[in-house]
Amino acid sequence: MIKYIFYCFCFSSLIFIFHLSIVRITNKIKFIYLIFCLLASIIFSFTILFIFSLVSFFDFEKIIVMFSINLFIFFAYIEFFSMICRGFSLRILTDVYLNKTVEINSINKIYAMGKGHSWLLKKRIDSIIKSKLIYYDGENYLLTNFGKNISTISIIFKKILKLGKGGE
Amino acid sequence: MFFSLLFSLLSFFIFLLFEIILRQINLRKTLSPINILIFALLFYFIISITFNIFVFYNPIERYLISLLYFLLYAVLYLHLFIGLSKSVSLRIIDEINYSSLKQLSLFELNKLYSEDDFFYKRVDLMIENNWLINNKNHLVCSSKGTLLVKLNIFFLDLYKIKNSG
Repeated sequence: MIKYIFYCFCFSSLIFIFHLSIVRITNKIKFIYLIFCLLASIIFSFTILFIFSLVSFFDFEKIIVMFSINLFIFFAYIEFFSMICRGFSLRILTDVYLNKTVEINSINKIYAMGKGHSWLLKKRIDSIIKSKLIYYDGENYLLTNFGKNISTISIIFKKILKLGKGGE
Repeated sequence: MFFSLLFSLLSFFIFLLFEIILRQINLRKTLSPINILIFALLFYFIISITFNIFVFYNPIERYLISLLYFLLYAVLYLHLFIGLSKSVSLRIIDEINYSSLKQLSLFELNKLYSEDDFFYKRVDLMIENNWLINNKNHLVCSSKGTLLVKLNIFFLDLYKIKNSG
């Protein structure tokens, strides 16, 4: 079983290779690509392990273990990728590094190579409008029903875990 | 098979219960995902050793498989946790939900989710965790911060990402 787990871990790293190849070829970042990479990795792992008689269709435990390992790597990879793509703190750190030294009061101005706070706020607002969590009526931003539900759940969890308002 | 599944679920729920209780009584305030993951793993090892000695003996392989399931639940919990604690988008929709009319203009949003919340609290946290050094009101990257940035730049180039953040 330990050998099997080791192989599953090795094959699940294909998620990273598949995703990197797709992003480099298409030059686009879409969530659907990640789902596709997960499925491709599961199918590939199962096929190879099946060919080498390490798993069969009725070996439920081994199949569940394979799914768990793939999902674990998938979620860890999403976290890593979203940190690279949208990591706010990492961007601040990169901007400080690129500018060598930054006066503490002007950190908001140099953010994202000089785009600043308004750019970030607008970028996030655009992305949540695209996700249909909020909409713009020409003057104000309002929550959609989906956005209301997500926000209610988020507020409850933030209270349970004592996270304050979050996003800081 | 069922032992591994049930044991992983049981240990994860006990971990979650502990995590919530410790946070509610202010004994645990960390926002670091690595810290949470280490705490979760330590918790799992303590529970599995206790269970194996006092309740029900099982071969180590069962606990190893159970650990794989536990890791999956832990990474899901971390996703939820990081999203709740750090997400700018979630904060924006929460601010709209908190407002009395359930609607906010860009100006009001800018006021409620100020630059202070946006930048300076994060900068303070990064100084506290030694990613940045505050040298007479001027920020510079620490050596571990520089290493992380170099890695970040490498991955940004690898994925051809131009607008991060």
